Amino acid sequence: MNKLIRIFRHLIHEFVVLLVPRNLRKNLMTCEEVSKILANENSLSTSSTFKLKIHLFICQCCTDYSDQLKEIDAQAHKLSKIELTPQQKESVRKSQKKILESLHK
Amino acid sequence: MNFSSKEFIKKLKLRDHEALTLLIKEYHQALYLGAIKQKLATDQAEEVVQETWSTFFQKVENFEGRSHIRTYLFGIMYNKIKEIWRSNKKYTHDDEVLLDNIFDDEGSYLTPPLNPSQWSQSNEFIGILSEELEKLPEAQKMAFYLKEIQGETTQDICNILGVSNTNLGVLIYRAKTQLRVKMEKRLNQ
Repeated sequence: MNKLIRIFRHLIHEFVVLLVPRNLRKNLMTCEEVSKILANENSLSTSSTFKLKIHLFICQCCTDYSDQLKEIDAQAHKLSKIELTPQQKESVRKSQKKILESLHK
Repeated sequence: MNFSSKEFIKKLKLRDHEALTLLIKEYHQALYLGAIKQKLATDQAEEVVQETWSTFFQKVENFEGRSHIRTYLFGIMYNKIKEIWRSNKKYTHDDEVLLDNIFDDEGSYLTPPLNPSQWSQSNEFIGILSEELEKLPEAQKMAFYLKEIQGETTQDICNILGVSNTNLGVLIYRAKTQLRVKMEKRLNQ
């Protein structure tokens, strides 16, 4: 099923690039514009959101790009789940004590 | 405790011991954890946090209260971490992806991004991502860490890095572009 959707998107994309006149294509977002929006998750106006959705519907490149970023963000989120080991907690306790003592000198 | 109240900030500026003690107790461990998340070794993280506090004690009189005291404190620490990255050869980058080589004049991909469906099945994914993150240029790496790993707000990141919203957007975009191209090279082989 996924393969069919990919083929469908590639066909639509080729159709748009080859048959839709350039001046009409100017109303669509380019892949470069889409990549910048997706990387920053910017809040968009209704018309830009619509243009973005249309672009993603017909463009397999940007769909793959979007999926790549989702994978990277999800893994990066896992990196944020680090917790201190008991040794590190002990080290924090000692260094905090040292700093507090230095305040009173 | 409201750490951004004018009264509390005033006490900090006067080096009130009680206020400073409260602040240290509140943020010392968070600073340490933040340093560990930036891949610093335990002793390095401890050193950075201590230096952060001593810089804070020296500069607190100049704090204008434009950002939250937490942002100010973490900002000092992140600048110290950037100095470490800069001075450590391990973190230098020599194979930055050229953004000019990604799109043609009409804004279409020169080389289409590859399907990442197999990435999440790779046991090496998180390790490779972590390695590639370390290789990013300092500003991009810090922006990515603060946004995606520390989960700081856009406004706080701009204050910490001293950049505009637009510049932050560019840093994040470049960081993510570098990362995705490197991940493609290593995981779609």
